[in-house]
Amino acid sequence: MAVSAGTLRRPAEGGLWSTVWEWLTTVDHKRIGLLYFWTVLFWFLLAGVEALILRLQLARPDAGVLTPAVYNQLYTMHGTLMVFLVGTPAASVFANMVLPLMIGARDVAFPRLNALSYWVFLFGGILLNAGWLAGGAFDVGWTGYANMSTRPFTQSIGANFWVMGLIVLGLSTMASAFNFLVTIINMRAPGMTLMRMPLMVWALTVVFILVIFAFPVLTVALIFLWFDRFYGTRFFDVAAGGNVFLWQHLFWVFGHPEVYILILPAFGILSEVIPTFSRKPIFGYSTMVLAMGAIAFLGFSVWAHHMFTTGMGPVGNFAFSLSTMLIAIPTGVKVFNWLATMWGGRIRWRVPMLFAGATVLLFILGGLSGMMHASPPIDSQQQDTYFVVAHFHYVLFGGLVMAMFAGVYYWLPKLTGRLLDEGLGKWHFWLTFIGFNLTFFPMHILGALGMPRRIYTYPAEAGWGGLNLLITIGAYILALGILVFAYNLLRSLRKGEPAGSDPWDGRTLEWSIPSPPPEYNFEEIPVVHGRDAWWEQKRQRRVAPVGGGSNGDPHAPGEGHQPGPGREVIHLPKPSIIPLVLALGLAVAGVGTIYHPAVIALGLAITIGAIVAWAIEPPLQGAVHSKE
Amino acid sequence: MAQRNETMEPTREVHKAGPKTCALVAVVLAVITAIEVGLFPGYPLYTEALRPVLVPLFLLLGAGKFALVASFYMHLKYDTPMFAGIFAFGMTVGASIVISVIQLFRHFHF
Amino acid sequence: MEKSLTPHGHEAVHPPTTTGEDHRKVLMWLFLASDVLFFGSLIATFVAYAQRVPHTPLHEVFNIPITSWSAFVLLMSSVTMALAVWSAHSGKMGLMRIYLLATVLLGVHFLADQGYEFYHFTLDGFTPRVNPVGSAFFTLTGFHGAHVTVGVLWLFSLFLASFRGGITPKNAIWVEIAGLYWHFVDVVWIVIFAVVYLIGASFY
Repeated sequence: MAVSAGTLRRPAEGGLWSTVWEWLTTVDHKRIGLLYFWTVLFWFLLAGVEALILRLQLARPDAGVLTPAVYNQLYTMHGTLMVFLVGTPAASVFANMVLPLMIGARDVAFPRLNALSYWVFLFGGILLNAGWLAGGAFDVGWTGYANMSTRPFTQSIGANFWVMGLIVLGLSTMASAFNFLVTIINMRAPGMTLMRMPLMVWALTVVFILVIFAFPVLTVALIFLWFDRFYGTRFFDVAAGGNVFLWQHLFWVFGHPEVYILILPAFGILSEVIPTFSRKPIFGYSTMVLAMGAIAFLGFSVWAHHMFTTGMGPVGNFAFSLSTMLIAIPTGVKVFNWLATMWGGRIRWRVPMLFAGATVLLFILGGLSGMMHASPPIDSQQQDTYFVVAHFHYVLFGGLVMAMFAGVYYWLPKLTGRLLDEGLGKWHFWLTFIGFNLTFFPMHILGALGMPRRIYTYPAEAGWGGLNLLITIGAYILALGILVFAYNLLRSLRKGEPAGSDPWDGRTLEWSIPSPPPEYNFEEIPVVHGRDAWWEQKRQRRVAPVGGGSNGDPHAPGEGHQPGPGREVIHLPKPSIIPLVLALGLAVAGVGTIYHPAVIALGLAITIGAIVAWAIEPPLQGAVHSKE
Repeated sequence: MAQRNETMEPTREVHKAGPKTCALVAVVLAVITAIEVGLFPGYPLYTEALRPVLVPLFLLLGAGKFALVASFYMHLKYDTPMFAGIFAFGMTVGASIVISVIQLFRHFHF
Repeated sequence: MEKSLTPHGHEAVHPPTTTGEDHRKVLMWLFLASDVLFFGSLIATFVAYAQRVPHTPLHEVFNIPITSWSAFVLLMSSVTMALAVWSAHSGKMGLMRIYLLATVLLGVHFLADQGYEFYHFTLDGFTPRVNPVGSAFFTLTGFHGAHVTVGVLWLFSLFLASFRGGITPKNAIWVEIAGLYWHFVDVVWIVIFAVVYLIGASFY
């Protein structure tokens, strides 16, 4: 039986329930990628709405839109969601959507583990947010500094959900990272050597390396906090000799690599979008790879620059200041390479390229204010002011989120088969760009004027009212842009222009197969002879057409497609409900730690049962032939 | 699949660390453990003169055992250098962080 | 459409990998490297606190002879594990079962020692709640014990599976990766034994 192309949009054969069942049991990385995408989009909108409410409170001096308690919960959850449910999974979103396609693989190394990562991510996110429904969310800031977050200082049940939610999310993030690292190491198409991998794949490789070494440290910090809160240990009990800097060290040993976990997917997206729309190969491929390697290594040596004001002495401050300034060098290399790629290129300013170009600009601004923080004396002035808020929104929104928009416009059509609208996309871009700068640029000034971050309100005499009003207006313009984006997305699913296999005249292998790709991705595994494999293939075909293959036709016998045997046997992974059950078991156990040991037992029973079933279930379904 | 990647190596299995090697390594491990315990204050090998170098000594002996288990029993000596590389990266990052945190707490944070 | 697996079983199903190494083995090494950071953070916390925080004198609490014995037991379980892997690769299934069972029993012995030790520490007033060093000690050794427990269950399930034809020389990789995990748990104990017990009780 031939599996028809376009399984992602295949009409359900047995009605609604069978469609739902297909999605619940899917082990196909493309479907999991879409699940990740919609889930992350939901958290992004929720966290955005939280920020909009915060801005109402701050729009005028001495305002009372919210109570201080709710204000604290809102800013805490806004930060937590944006970092752990939007930024961190960005790598998993794009890795699932395109990574196997870019390296010429039929799936990931462990398809069921991949599904497990998603379901754990979903349940972990719900657990993290459950505090809202259970009597109040966590309220000491996304960094959860102990001992503010220990029981004597925060009785709120939201803190319990926050701790358990983050532990569970960490498991999901690490599982995803292990899976994709094995995929990258072991499942590249023939000829796809490391130095021929697309830069997006390199960026994700570095992200996943950072994840597997940084997240265990966060997990340990969270376990300490969990034990302190639930079982009476004394890690952060100052009266018993505990030290609150322990939390800060462990948190930032994780937290600074985390910064690169957040921004590197953006670097990867830029490194694909910019060459495609400049119609030039990336400038300085090997320096790009080296720069990312350097960032990965140095990223682990800079954490204490978040702690300059804790009294680490001149030696400590000097060392961490130095390593922080060093890491600007590889980052600068990347910026210059993107600019040099655009230089002299025939740039097409389509929507993905608009977002990519804006990302470079905004990231430079955010990077420069970051360099200011690298100097301890300056940092002491800026610590905990709106200047810091401006800085990290420039790198995380201006850098990561803008690049994610570029990535969505660029790659989502590969999975849905339909392009997003160009006109609406431009509205989205300009509203977002203008709204973003109106929102976050004035924060630099407010910070320099001394406005502290995380304050509930401010007196009129401080003179911060005008700029704050401007910021609030900017935030709502930004929100309007996001609304246009959401409309554009939903519209594209039904009315979008069909994408075709290669809508952007792309360079990498994912554009050599139909949109949406068949379940098994590649009918024949391509053979790679250099960087930008698909581009080279198209170029050579234009020079000497073989068998009359037209541009973008994946079935044309080009150089990349070895004439295979008539029927190649492809083994597809078997759909499975077990990952969902296992994830549910973990979430139930997590809830149990908060409420009752019997619930922990129930959760663990489900988990162990699922693990046993997992071990017994055959991983593959019968052979499927790609051709007849 | 038509062709394998050029980075591919033939799989070599089986004849890794046989019973003889295993036993020899076991004896060395047991001897090092005996020395470690013997060096503990109050035990036969300990003298007051050793006190200043006791910490590096214990660390060194422990590292020796670690290296033996990792290279022979975990086959790092025989397997592709990739595995040694992965593990060494984790060990390097881990050790640097552990040492830095301990030193920062020793000198500044109290 | 064929419903069943090909007659060759799993071997025929896995396409050759880029590096020639099995996916599961690569995964295990990545996991172990990552776990280094997990135990590293726990050890760093213990040492950071032990050197500065007032706490129960460790040399009065620790029982070096007993811990040395259990460290030796775990070390020897690594030897039997390595032999089990070798037997599996060499097709000596009977021998492999004996070594697997020996490893399991040594692991259980280690866990029993740890339980005994924890019980007596608690009687002496050294508990997770008494001071931050107690918290760090029990969290560190407790998580190590949890790793050992998982390893014991895993090896025992392999032992059982071997009777039902689940382990053959062709998929000896299952024994090999379980072995990697087991050896890692052992090397972590080598570090804990040197740093927490020997150095800790010599100086604090």
